[in-house]
Amino acid sequence: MGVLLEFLETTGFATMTLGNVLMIVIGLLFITLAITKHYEPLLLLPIGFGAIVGNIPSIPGMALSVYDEGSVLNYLYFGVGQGIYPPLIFLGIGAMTDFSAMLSSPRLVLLGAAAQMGIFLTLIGALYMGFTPEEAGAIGIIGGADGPTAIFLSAKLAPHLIGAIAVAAYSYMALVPVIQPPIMKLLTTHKERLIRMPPPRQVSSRERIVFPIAAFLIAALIAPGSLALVGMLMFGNLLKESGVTDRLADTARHAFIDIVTVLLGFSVGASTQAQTFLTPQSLSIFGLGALSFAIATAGGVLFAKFLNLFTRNKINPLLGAAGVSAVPDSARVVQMVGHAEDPHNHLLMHAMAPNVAGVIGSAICAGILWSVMVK
Amino acid sequence: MVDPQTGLQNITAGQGLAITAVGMTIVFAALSMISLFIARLPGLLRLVAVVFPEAVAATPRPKVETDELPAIAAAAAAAYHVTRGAGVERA
Repeated sequence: MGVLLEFLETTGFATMTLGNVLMIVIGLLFITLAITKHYEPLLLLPIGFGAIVGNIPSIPGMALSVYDEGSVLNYLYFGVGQGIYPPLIFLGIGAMTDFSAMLSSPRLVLLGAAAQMGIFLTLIGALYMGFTPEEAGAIGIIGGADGPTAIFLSAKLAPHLIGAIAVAAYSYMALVPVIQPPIMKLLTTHKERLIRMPPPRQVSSRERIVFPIAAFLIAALIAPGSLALVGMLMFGNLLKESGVTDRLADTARHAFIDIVTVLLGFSVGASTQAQTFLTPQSLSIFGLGALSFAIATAGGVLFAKFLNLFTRNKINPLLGAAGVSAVPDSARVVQMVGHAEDPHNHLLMHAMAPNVAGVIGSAICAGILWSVMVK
Repeated sequence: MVDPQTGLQNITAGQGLAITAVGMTIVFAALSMISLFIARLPGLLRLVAVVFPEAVAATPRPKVETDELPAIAAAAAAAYHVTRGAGVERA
């Protein structure tokens, strides 16, 4: 009888807190949103299930949770905590990405830079709220709208905030179609939204091969902290564009990225234990995350309008909203908003230019913040 | 951990404005250089092509036997007729 009572005391029912229950409900909500609404299902589903797993209370003396050294989950989480998974995801993204749109419209690259304003203004907001500079940098990167980049920088600057930052980043990325359109409409006139872009030019195979090498050299020499992210992104792209490593490129963009996504999503979810996740800090991070997405969108749109003051060939300012990475969701939103104004205006291909530039821009920002804040 | 210092004092202590100014300048510089490089790349590659011409993949012209032409034309006409007919029915 004593053994039975002892065993019952170790069950999850006996040690579960209200916070754990709440986190399990949040995990279920993520899974529901992934399945019914198709909101970033490849990420929300693993994160949601991970949150359920991570909120089953551990038994003292047994290495079970993400934070127990030597546990299985702890080994899986190693790739998150040390920032290993994000560059591997970037390898797959590079092998998927077609930079042709960007190569045919170099001026649209600048919109990807302007949208990074969200990162730095959020950093100021986080400092204002009392976060340390390292935490503020990690929170600010949510504005880059790039999950792997946000996890990478959090792992380097504020590992204790990874769970909240990752969940905020991926949640808002899923909400891009909700967050961006009102801001885009508010900051542009009907006439501006009707601007048509010239058709993109044909990009040669040599251009597509030279670009990843040159872009890596420029980015890594200017911001060496971005070496791992930009390096893997451009390496993946070179595998794709070289035309001689189709097998490697195919593996990188399919099986490889899928495996890493599963590990990343699940371990991030499992790290959201109520005891570490349900804090006032997390609420502040969610608030600042929403703000950073809004600022990033506004920054891109306003910069496109600014460029139009000096250029003869006007840019449709909606394209600025695609400067936040969130590939390809924000480009799709640009297409959707532009299409609603003029059904014959197709902006998707043009929006991919600032969109992929935004990926490079946010990785460079992560490198800059890491370099500036490293002790 | 939330620092006990908040507000403008914390922004100043954390060099928030300096980091923002420097960060935005660097990211603009990096992407401007990439943009400039992309803009100049076709010209550079034209120069390279003078020395190392780009190999154009030769695609052989499809051979069509002249005695097959009537059959192909009949198939195309039949397909057009069927498609058009289907379109009328749907309308």
